[in-house]
Amino acid sequence: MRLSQSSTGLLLIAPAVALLLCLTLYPVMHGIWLSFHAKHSFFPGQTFIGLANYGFLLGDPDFWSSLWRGVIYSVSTIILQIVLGVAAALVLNEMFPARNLVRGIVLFPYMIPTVVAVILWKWLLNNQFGLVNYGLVAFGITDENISWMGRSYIMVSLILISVWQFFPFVVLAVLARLQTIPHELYEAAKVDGAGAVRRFLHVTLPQLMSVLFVVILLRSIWMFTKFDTVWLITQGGGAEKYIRTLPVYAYLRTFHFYEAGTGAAIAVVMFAILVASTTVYFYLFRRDERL
Amino acid sequence: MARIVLDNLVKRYGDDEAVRGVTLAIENGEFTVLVGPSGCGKTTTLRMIAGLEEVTSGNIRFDNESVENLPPKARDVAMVFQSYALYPHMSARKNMAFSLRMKGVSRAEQERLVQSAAELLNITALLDRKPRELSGGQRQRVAMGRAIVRNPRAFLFDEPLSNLDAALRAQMRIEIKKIHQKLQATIVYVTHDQVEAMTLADKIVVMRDGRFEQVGDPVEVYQHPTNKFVAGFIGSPRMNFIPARLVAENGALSAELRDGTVLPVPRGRWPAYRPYADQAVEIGLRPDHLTDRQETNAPSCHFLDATIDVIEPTGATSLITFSIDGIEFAAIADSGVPRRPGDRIRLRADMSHMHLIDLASEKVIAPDCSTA
Repeated sequence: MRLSQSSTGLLLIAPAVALLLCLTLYPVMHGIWLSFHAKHSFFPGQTFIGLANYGFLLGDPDFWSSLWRGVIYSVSTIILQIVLGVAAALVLNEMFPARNLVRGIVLFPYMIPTVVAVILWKWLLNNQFGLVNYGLVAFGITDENISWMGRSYIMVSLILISVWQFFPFVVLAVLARLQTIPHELYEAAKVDGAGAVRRFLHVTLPQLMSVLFVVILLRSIWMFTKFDTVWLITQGGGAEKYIRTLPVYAYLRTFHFYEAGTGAAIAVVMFAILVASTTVYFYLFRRDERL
Repeated sequence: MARIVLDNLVKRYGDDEAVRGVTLAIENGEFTVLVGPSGCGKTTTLRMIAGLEEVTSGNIRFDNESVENLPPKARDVAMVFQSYALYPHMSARKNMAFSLRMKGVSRAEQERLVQSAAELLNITALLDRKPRELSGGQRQRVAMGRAIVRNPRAFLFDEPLSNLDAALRAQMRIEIKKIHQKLQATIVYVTHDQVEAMTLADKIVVMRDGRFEQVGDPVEVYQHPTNKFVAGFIGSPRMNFIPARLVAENGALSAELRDGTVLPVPRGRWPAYRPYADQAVEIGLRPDHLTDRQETNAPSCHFLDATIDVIEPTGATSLITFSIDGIEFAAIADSGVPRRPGDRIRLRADMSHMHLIDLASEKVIAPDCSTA
């Protein structure tokens, strides 16, 4: 039997579509379905309760504080990652001795497993014997040790650790783009009378826009849904409440309070926020990408 | 516009000497073309004038002001790049206005200057397009417009036509020449295409291995090359170089080719060529002067019979390739006569246009007088 060309095509993409439906669409739909039920996380059986889970979240101060902390965490880490990543990429794009070695070293944090990175930083930031506090005191920047994992500084620590861990992704993407910018554009700008700052503003930055658009989008999604780094830092301290973001709160609701329905509702809210903000982002910033 | 002087200019990259102490005066309003094969140092010289390349030693002066230590922006030159180097995210209008914006020129003045340059280049309708929406020729015009709006002290062109097809290149050559005639600008133009050099230049500078081989007006360089390299590089098709022996017999000089053919040397050149009598030399003769065309029938002509290897019709004439004693020659033949490879052809060698080349120095021996 000979299949028509279109049937063969459909048959060939069918496994990929089936996989996508099973691994993406089904969990999303199941999550949405779950959010309309009261369900214990481990026992079978559930009761349909309509929008009650969402109603609960509206009146739940922990939900709102988690959402707010999540926004602070995402926005600040993204801004710092972009600034640091672009700056590092610009430096690494210049010629200097041992450039390739330095490029490799800069990428290290991104390759270290999160659990190792967090343990490492917890030691470095330890308020009694941490190297960071030792340095700050030794150089006279502070008089006494700072409690980095305490209530006042734990969000700062989380942001710093996350930026350190994830800015190499920005470096990688931006450096790749920088290397493709034709050198003649800079020479033309030099001859046209543009100094270093103006060359950056009028040549480099516009050329980076397309890659920054994608990098900001991806990092926003990843930082807003970041669980492991935040969760690992909350372990073993007393100030975990002050860095509790939505993914952590959804986990707590599901596996500590055994409220799978509420946990699912939080996940659905996160999903909706991401869809909405991504749509707005595309609408506002999507430029012609054929630059 | 400025008078540009290069004084013993040297550029070294490590041990590699790209430009080896060149000296040149480019007069105000003069169209100077640096021409030479790839790697001869012509682009490096241009980039040193622009300030994009540091000078190892020597001096560059614009109207007696030393500029070799000034950054590009302080030199007030405009450059047109081979790749055009248009800013891809800016419209043609913004590309052209960019340098004015950097200088702080008012918006109204920017617009006026851009419009005026756009009219000169016939690109008014393209001003709001981005570079990717323009054809190669249109981009070339915008790149030139970007240079023109500035009214700089000098225009520097770095092989600006090499990315265009042959027809467009010929058209743009005319446009560039027109613009030069209109603006009377000092232009330094780099190309590897000797046709471009010949057609555009007021002054042609032939470069090889970082040195200036010959400087002069195009016709002078074509008619009186000073050495074998220039003789071979300038002129298309390339000059024939024929190994020969200069023979003196009864006071008369003639060139005896390896196969025994004897080509008489015009009488007027005997005094200058006599020191080379009985020596091995090379005779340079352009294909235009080795032809079957009837109009070339001067007394200085000598017949040469050959068997055609290849025929390349170019229109009214054909380029004929043949060989004598293993050496390949090119000649121009009338396309009107039907011919095939293997046919015999009788050519006239117009020896009044011959060049005598000293084998040791590869210098062309000046004939002392212009007529044969």
